[in-house]
Amino acid sequence: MNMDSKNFVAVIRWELEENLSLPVIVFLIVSAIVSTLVQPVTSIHPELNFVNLYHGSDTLFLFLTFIACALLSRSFAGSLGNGETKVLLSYPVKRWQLFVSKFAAMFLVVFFIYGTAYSIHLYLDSLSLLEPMFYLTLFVFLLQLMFVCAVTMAISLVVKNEIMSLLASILLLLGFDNIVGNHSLLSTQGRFMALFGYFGELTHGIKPFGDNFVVTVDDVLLAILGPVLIFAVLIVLSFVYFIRVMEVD
Amino acid sequence: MSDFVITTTNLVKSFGKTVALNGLNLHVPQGISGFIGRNAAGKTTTIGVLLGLLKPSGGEATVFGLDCWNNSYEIKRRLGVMHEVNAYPGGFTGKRFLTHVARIYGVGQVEQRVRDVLRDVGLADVGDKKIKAYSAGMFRRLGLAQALIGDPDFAVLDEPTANIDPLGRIALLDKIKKMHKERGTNFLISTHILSDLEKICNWLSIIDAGKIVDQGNIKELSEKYSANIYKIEVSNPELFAEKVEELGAVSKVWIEDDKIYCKVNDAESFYGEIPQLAAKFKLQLKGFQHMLGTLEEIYTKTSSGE
Repeated sequence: MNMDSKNFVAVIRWELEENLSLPVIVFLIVSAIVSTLVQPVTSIHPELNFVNLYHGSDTLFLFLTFIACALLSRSFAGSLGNGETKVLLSYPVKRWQLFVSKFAAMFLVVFFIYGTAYSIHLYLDSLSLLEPMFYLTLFVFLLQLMFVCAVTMAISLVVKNEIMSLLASILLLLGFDNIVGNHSLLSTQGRFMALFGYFGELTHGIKPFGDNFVVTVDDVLLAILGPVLIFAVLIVLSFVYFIRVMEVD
Repeated sequence: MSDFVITTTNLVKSFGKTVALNGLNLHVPQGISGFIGRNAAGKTTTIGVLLGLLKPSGGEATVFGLDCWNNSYEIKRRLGVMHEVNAYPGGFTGKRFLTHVARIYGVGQVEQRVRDVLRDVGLADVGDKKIKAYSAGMFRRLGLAQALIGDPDFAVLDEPTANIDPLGRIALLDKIKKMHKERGTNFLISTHILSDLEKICNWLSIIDAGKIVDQGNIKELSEKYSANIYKIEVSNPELFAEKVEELGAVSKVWIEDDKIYCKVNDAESFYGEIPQLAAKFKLQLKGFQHMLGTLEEIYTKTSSGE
């Protein structure tokens, strides 16, 4: 391994150890399991069991949003505010290495823990490990996490204060969902519903939300490309700002 | 490349309407150099620019001949830094923290190096304690340890002796001197504790209101800013003092511990007249030297604009 790669690995280890202490990991695991278990098992027909993957997901998205906002705010705004970023950037660490390690460490850990906890549903709903809607649900988690992380990171870099960043991110994300309503494609739940409805019918031949719920291909594209586009724009802006513009005082 | 490790040319750094550095021309050679100035003079901002943490608003800043903003990574591979405010991760133990830093610097035999550095800075007994439980003095020592763990060519220390007890300060300064002597590590020490610098520095840069007001070899600066006071040791100080007082080049003469002190107006003629005067009255001239200005005198004079 050359010097650059060694540095990068060292920074990732630092970030993981610093931000994910044992109590934090335990909290993450417990919150992921709780948010999975609070979802009701409502189906009475075995062929509709897969729909349980959708029901109650609002709690899980709420937890996921809160946890991702808290961890990213701590990792970016917190360490900028308390001087840890200044210390780290005084070592031979490239700015992109720090940016990527902060983002990737938090993002992947949250996704891994929540995704793993969600697999409890396969057992609770008597679903196979090959159930396609389980993987669709994981994909939606990924989209949501990308979206939440990109928004939180951008806010963190601007406000440079952990608490303010956490509050601003949560209020913005949850407030926006509330304003547009659960059925809008602009909301987290709306996007999930559209994707679940479309791919549920495609894979199981059953409309999970009844005949009145119609989803077009355009809706599906919008539900996927919307958060991806916002993620891409915010991540590029944050990245350029972090490595070329940001001053650490 | 110039002989200076650090060079800034007309360096300007503004934060909105506040101008922190206003055409700073800093030159730091190899060795142990002092960087002094009162609070808010621009010392920490200068260090921030040198580390590539702050982007210059104008002018140039180079370390090892490399541009500080564009080549900060290459510079930091050869540089160790101790910041004024220590923001080390409180949840790590001292040992764990230094292990991470050593890995970032790509140090070989990390465990051994961490043990050595902890011992060198006097933290060997508390290496397994969490950093948040450290005292202020321990924090400073840990700061020095993390600055030195990568065995840098140059170490920048911002207020290294702040919050350290007198004995700890002496030990820390000795350590810096030893590091320079044994490993050839060069230091830039930013401080306002002048007595610390007097003991170890060979170069001094004085900053005031974002500008270098003077800099150079400490001996040369001492001569430049000395109060033109000479000390004379002679076999009959009372008699000689009377004769010296009659010289036109002298404005004041006094005796302390059998030594004559003279405040001189015209140093050039005075310097030639003293040996002649001693010979004339058949007195033995045991010593004759120019009293150099202290660091405090230099600092007071430069900072007040004299």
